[in-house]
Amino acid sequence: MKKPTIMGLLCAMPLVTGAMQSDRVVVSLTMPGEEMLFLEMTPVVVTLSNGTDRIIPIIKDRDLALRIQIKLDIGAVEPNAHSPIPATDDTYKKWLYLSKAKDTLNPGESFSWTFPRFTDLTVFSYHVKATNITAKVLVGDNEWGTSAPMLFSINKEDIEGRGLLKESPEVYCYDAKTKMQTETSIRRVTLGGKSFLFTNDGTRLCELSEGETPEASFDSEKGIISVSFSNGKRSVRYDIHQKKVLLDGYQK
Amino acid sequence: MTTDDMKDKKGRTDDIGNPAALSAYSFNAVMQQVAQFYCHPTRGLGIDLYWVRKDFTAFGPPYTPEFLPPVEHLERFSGETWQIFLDTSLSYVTNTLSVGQSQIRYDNRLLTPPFDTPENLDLFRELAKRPESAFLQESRDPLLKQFVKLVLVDRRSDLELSSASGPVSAAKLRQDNAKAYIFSTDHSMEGAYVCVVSVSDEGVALPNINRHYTANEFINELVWAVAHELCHLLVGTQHYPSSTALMTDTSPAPHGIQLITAESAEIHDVNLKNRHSVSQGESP
Repeated sequence: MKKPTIMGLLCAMPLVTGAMQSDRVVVSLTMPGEEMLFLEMTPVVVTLSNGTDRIIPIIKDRDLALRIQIKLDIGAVEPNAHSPIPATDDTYKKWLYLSKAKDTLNPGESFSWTFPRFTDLTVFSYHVKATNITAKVLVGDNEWGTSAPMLFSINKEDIEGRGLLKESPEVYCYDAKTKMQTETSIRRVTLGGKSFLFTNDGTRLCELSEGETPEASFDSEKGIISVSFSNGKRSVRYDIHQKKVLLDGYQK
Repeated sequence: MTTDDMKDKKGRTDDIGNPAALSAYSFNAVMQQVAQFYCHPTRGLGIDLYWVRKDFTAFGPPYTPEFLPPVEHLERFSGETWQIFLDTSLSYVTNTLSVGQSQIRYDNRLLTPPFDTPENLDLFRELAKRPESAFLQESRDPLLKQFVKLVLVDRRSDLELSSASGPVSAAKLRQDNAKAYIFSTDHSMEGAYVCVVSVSDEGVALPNINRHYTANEFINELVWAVAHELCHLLVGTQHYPSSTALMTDTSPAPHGIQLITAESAEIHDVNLKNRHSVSQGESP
């Protein structure tokens, strides 16, 4: 069988914003979408790229980084409806602390912090009625790299009732070899007027284009969910062990 | 987490609360000092403060389910309580406050293996969608509508699972030992809380202060915290740049209220008629 050739990767699912800062420090924020589920598993990713000619200290531990180096500015309707979370609190985000970091980012290097099931963020954002989000990364004495702001909110329907995942239509996965229906399924969820496929634990697989009908299969030996679409050559592959989308692209 | 991590800076592993300072606490004495500050002719706000004491009870649905490792009361936790702070070596240090008590905010055990089943995630969603300040709303007295709401609790925390010695439940203390809630629409959920015991625990967490508060320092800090949060209900969310202003965003510890003098800008911004935490339009 001819090996499929990947022509291009879709970037429709994760929303990424980047911004060129003075001194060429670039911060990008990758969000699952403009709307998130309350307990969504899809990670939020903050990336710092050092385009300067100097070394920048970084804290690789993600929890500690949220205390000292990364700030998430959440625009909100009710900013004082909830206690600050480490990501929004400024107490320790000072050069005094960051300058003691053991790791560094050399000129030309990048580093990403990945935050899966970021409950602190989603619960906070729901209660303050978040409207937008910006990532800031401390890189020097009162010197921040900042991503472009992006729209961001927590889906209200997911909070009311039984939750969007449970209430959304189920797409059953068929065994890749026997073609029999398996106990594994994925969900077709509508968020902000768009359709997405999610795993049952809340990981977003991909956005569906209008008219796309997904067909899903499950390779139980490898733990891979594969989604194909009746009206195109798009293919999505998800590893349930790594909890990671391996591929979202088109074949020749 | 290693055993060393569980020690405080003096190498102690348990009972590191501050009972000596806490024994100096008296509700009436603290509120009298707050009232004296508010009406002080040169340092205060020019406000006569009246208060009504009402024992606080958490109403409404419980914050934690019954089927997880037992919690003494569903809104309160009694057991291993963690205080986490940032050490100067840039690492987290966990103080374990044995037999500590705390009001529960979220039960994060539901998000943690082996309890993170789909059913328990749903349950967490149900519990966590309750507003943080719901306890203020639920404990309001309809006969005291013109009073702003201040609740003094011991500690507030999230329940966690500690895997150090098996799945033991522990309460991780929140950073905010005092907070005012302000909403644009729902005034019934507005008000403030101050965690009395957490304030007494604070000393070890302060940078460069390797000791607890003395009894006087604790009371002075507590009086400032109460006066500060109450003032948020009068002036709103803003802070003022001076470190000696009542609404400074820098804790005046260990001197507390002794260091504070209300600034003219703060006094000017006080709005008794439209104070938060009461229904708009009610006269003071």
